[in-house]
Amino acid sequence: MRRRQGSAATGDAAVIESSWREPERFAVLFDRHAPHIHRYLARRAGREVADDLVAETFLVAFAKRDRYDLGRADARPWLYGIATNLVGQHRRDEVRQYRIRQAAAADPEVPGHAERVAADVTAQATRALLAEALATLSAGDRDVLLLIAWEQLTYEEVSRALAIPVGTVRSRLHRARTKVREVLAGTDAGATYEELMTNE
Amino acid sequence: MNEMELLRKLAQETPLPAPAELEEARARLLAAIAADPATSATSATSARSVAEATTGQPDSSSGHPAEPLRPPAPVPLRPPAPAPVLAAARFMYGGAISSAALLIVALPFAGDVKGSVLGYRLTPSPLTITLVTLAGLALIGLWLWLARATSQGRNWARILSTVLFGLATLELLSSLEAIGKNGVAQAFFAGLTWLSGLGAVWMLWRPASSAFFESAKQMRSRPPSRISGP
Repeated sequence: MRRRQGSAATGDAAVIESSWREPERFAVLFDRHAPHIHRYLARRAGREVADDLVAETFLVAFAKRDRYDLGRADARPWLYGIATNLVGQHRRDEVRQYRIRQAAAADPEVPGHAERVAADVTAQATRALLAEALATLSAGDRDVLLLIAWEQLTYEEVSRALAIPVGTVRSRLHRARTKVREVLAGTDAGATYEELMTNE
Repeated sequence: MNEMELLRKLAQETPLPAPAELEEARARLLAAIAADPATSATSATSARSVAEATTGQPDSSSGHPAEPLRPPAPVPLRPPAPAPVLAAARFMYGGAISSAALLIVALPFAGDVKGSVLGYRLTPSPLTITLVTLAGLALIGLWLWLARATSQGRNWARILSTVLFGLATLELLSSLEAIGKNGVAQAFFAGLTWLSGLGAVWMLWRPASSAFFESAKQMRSRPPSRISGP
């Protein structure tokens, strides 16, 4: 599980400020955050699209660096906000990505020992359920849910990333979690989900 | 395990990308940096320091060869203004516009009262009108001058703006009664002008603005020939 990048994150504002007069310094921000931004984008839109979007994210950030609020030491919410906006321009790719995962998980071909096969099938079924649940969410609800669940941003950070009030973050998260629970519990594979809930 | 933990657990199955997967994106960013007008990295020393800063390793072992260097570019005299400073400048331009409007609606009330047309009192003295007009134009010029100076990172302009706003507030409070007598339009534009000043002063003292004025001051105090590396 990734956590705050400690002293590295505290220096983001200083790096951005120095990049105002020495643009080369902005590459520090790329090396610091690009891997995680790429992984976030890959989860949402697929690896191929992520390769392009991570570049776009940092190009946009570089172009807008003069407007960065230096009072914010950690630039991750800003970068995730840009990345999420870019994902918004690839909604079809994103939903297709979830459908592909759902389809791939629905028909597992796992040779081997019976127990391992059972475990893999369970995991695959869970992936399919989650993919289906995510695909049914509205874009705004999905943005909030994934920034919190996957990237572990706080409510305040999501609020800054998406430029929405913290109260909206809370309500969107609540709505998203409710919908995900409903999808997970309301399908034929719900038993698998319930099993996971009780076994873990 | 709830749905959030389940999401996190499955998300961990996606590994971080290999460095090679980010090379193309990094190259695109470096190309944009090289094309930026503010780029001043024109020496091998500067390129090496950047490579070291971005990898934490000496250039020879960084895996990121130094990018082709561009011809010398002029060193910027100041950093780009951040959003709060730009907003403050916009407030000041708004103040200039509302001051112009205030001048127009206030002119009929200038000077001694000798008669009225369509409800507006006439002013008999061309000198009075001229003086009021000149004062109004000077005020508009002051707004524009301060907007330009603050956008350039001049800290004295920020301080002067704040002081003038304080004086304008006192003046507004002392003339509230007179403004009220002169009609809704004048009161409206006087209030709008004051609000523009309030917005500008608020923005000028935001943390990002303070950092900008400090950076601009430091850059002006440096030798103009080159800016040192990290």
